[in-house]
Amino acid sequence: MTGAHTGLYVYAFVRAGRGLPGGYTGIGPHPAPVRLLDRGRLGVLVSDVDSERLSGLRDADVTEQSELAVRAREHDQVVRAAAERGPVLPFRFGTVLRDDAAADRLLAEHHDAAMALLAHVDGKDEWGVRLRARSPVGDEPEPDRSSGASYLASRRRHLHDLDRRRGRQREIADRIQQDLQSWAADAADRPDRDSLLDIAVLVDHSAEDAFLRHVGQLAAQAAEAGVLLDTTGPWPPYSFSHAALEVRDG
Amino acid sequence: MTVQPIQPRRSPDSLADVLERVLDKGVVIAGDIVINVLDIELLSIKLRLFISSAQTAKEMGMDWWSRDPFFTTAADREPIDTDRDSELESLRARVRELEGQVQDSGRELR
Repeated sequence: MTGAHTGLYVYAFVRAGRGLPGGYTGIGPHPAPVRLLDRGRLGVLVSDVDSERLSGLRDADVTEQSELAVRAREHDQVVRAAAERGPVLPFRFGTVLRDDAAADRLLAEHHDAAMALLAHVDGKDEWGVRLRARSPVGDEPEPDRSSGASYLASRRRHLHDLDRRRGRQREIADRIQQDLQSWAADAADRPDRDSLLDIAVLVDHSAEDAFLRHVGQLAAQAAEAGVLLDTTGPWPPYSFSHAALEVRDG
Repeated sequence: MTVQPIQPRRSPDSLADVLERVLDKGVVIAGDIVINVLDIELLSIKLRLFISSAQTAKEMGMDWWSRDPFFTTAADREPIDTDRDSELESLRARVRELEGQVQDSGRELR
């Protein structure tokens, strides 16, 4: 692809030599092949991209069918394909470098830091665990309407019960959080979205079965307190690829 | 306490889960080797709105307030009105009765 708006989309750091087989294409409506650029023991997966086209996503709405959704899943697909062949450090969605020379500078300047992070996530997957309180709507007992005073008293009892239940749910969420943190190789608290707990844990492949059995136990304990436990995964280590790397020309 | 383990719900990776990761996480590069093409902050705000509206609609149903007695009197109005009517009726009857007694005793006094 040539043109005034060509840039180099970057997907992930990988180890040198761990490129994708031919036939894998990258992001965009007219996707270019995914390429591997190497330097030393470090590599980066890239594809040429029309940066003008990509910048149009700024105005995209977030819906299941939106272009943003399609491009995000394409990004995820490339990262996942790479994760099957070795450790990956995904880049933030939408990262576009000027050209191959810029990618080479990136590889050179952050070689050792990136290799250390790759070693940290090697052989591990990210799992998401989310706890949500079951909605109390529908559980409410019929209020006592025999008089105004008894109605208010039954409302007060109900609100008090809700309070106690929230307290119990908070307790179990804290306990599960500590449990998961002590259990996993690494854990990252994720931004809360109306949930009691939203956590990402990094789990060794060899411990995956034991982890899922353990989470099953936790789910049963949570359910007794009216808390739903959801897991997602396995994911590439998105939540464990936190690094801000600065590269300037010259 | 022994509890039977349950299979945790393995939800398929939803768009929200994917976007939360690819937009919010990952290695960030700063510097002039980067062509700045996306306003990630703006996209993140849209993502938050998308997540919370989907979540809210799913959790509550769109008509949740119609079932909460704190937010609606529609369900209560009828029985209360009936009570009030019958109470009024019995009060009226009692007043008629007392008025009758007063008139009777007045007649006697005269």
